[in-house]
Amino acid sequence: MSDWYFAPLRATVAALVAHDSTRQIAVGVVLGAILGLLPKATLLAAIFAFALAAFRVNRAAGLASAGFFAMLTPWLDPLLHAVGFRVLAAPSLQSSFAWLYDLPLGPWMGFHNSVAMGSLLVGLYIAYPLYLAVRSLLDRVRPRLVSWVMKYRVARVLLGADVASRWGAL
Amino acid sequence: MNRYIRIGYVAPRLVGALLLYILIEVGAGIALRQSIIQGGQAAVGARVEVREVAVSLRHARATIEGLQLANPSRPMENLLEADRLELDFDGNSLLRRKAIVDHAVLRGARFGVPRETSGALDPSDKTTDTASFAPWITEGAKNAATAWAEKLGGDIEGRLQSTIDEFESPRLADELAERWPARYQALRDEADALRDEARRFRDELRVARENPLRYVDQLAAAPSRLRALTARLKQLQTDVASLPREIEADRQQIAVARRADESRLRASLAADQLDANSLTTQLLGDTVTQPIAEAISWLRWVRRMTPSTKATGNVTPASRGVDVQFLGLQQRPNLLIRALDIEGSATLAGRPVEMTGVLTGLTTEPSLHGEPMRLVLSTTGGAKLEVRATIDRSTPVPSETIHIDCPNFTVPRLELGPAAGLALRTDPSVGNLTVSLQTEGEALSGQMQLVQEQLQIEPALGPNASAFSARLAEAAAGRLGRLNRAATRVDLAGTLNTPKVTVWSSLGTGLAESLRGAAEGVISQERERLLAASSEDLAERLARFDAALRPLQEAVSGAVEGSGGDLKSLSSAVLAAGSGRGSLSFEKLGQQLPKAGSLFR
Repeated sequence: MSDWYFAPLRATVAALVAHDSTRQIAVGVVLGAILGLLPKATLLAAIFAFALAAFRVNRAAGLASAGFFAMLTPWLDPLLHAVGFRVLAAPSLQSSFAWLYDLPLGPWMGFHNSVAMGSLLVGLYIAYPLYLAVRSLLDRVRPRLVSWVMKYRVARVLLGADVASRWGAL
Repeated sequence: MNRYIRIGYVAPRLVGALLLYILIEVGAGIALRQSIIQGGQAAVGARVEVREVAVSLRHARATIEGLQLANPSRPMENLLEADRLELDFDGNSLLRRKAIVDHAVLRGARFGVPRETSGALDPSDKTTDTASFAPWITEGAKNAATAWAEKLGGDIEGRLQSTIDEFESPRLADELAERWPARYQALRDEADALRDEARRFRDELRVARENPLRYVDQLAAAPSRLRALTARLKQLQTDVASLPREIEADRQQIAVARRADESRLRASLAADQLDANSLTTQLLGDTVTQPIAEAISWLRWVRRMTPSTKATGNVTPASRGVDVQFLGLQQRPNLLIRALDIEGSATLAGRPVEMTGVLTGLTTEPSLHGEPMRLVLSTTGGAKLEVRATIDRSTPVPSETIHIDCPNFTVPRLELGPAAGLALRTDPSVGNLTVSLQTEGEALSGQMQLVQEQLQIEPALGPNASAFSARLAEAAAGRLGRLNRAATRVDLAGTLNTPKVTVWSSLGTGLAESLRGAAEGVISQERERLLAASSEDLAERLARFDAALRPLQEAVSGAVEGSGGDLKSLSSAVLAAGSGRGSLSFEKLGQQLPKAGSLFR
């Protein structure tokens, strides 16, 4: 139970002190942001979740980012819907979308949903700026932040608990 | 590659996915079974039971075994039972989130099989198909035919006799026999009184003539008294003279009453009160209406199960945002069974039959499919039946067309009337049935034709049948023997919930004609026999009356003549007294008498 409560905090600490590069963390945050925005019952969300887990990116940062953006969706949905619907209703794109939709697994993708399309487009649109922003931020604050965090016993406990839980699982 | 992808993560997941696929191959049947039960119960409104479901993702096939759909209208009966249902899905459609079955086979299908437990979802729900069918098949028609049969089989002789006992003519004859002797007696009394009066007058006159002075007043009143007696005599003679005319008038009244009695007798037992339609109903009711009623019930059920669906718009609300339908994309229904082969058994006209058929275009969204659902069903074995149905929901107005051919089926033995008395029995005959039904919205139209061949109808006598019934049966046998073919036509109109039926049948008409003819013959014979007896009885009464009247007539005539003779001689005496042929006439006596005042000085 305590593991469930402390998992986000531990993930944040792990993301910061892990040996991953800032690039890996930034990509993880970007993938997590898109995953967080997307409706989860679609194949698109499954693909991004698989990518987050399969690629060598910082999963902890990705999951934290996904959680954060998922919390924002109630406020962002009108915007995502408006963007997605505008694109989906564009007459010039109808035949392309119809072709895509008619492909095997097309309906399972969920891109015909206005929020899914809006999430994908907004996510892709903010991906690179977010990547750059996260990376530059990490480059600047990460060394100081790591040394500051490691000074505190609680951080070490959290990391130790993480290691212990992994061992316990084994 | 290793630099970007965590092989150590991906490889176990791929193995896990493979295991998951194997698990789905094994366990998807359980999930599908639950969804079939829940979805089926929601759609049918009654319990749906499935023994086992097996799913093969690799072959895109599902096999359902032990399928039972309870009848929501009759919970202790299964609407459909099937041993096995095999569904071959189109794999590409599944990848496109559509359940499209290219080919399905329903094996061991049975309809209307009784259940051991109730199939109602809610045991307190007593919903039944209560929509009225037609007044033509109500109990009224059956009762009318049975009542007629009972009327024929009852105590006709007794009823004839009671009708004769209520005749007016014998009552009038009896009244005549009582009234006329009294009348004669009164006339005779009058004649006697007149004669006595005349004699008394004569005696008084004689006394007065001997002493005219003393009886001067009587002598003066004698002429007027004589005129009064003469007037009474004349009246009496007039009355006696009018007697024959009055008697003749009474006889005419009896004759008129007699004719009225005969008419009443004929009307009271006229055999034209049997309604041909009632007979048709009784003899063919179930045979004719059962296929129609079942077809209409089936139509109602189909209408409930497959409501019209409107084509979805370009935008469908979703949990988040909306789902957009792209222009130019061919929309397909979520569930479509392109062809379903049906193999099973059923009971038709009491005989087990093997049933095969094909159902095409079964879908949950007919408007997207764009084609009507079609069913072709035929039976082999004990009875042949062919059903062709088209259910069109692709247009806003739902419509159905059903055509049923049932050649050479056996119409079962039927009995009309009380088994203990006089009944009519039809032996099993060969029937050819054709039903054609069309619906457009709520409007219903159609026709049913039944042609019966090798028809044999014969009267049957029960242990309580009267002698009259036996005679009627004997008379009807010959006529009924000629009825060996019958055609019945039923026209349907109205709506699905309140269908109107118009029936025409040569059987009911022919049967009614035959029975009426036979009954009329027998009743006529019996009636004429009883009428003859009644006429004889009346003639005897009148003869007795004449015989009783004759002496009375003679007595009255004698009394009147006697009175006349007395009055004649009295008249002569009075005239003689008036003309002075006696010792002193009235005038002389008056002239000789002194003045009235001097006599008493």
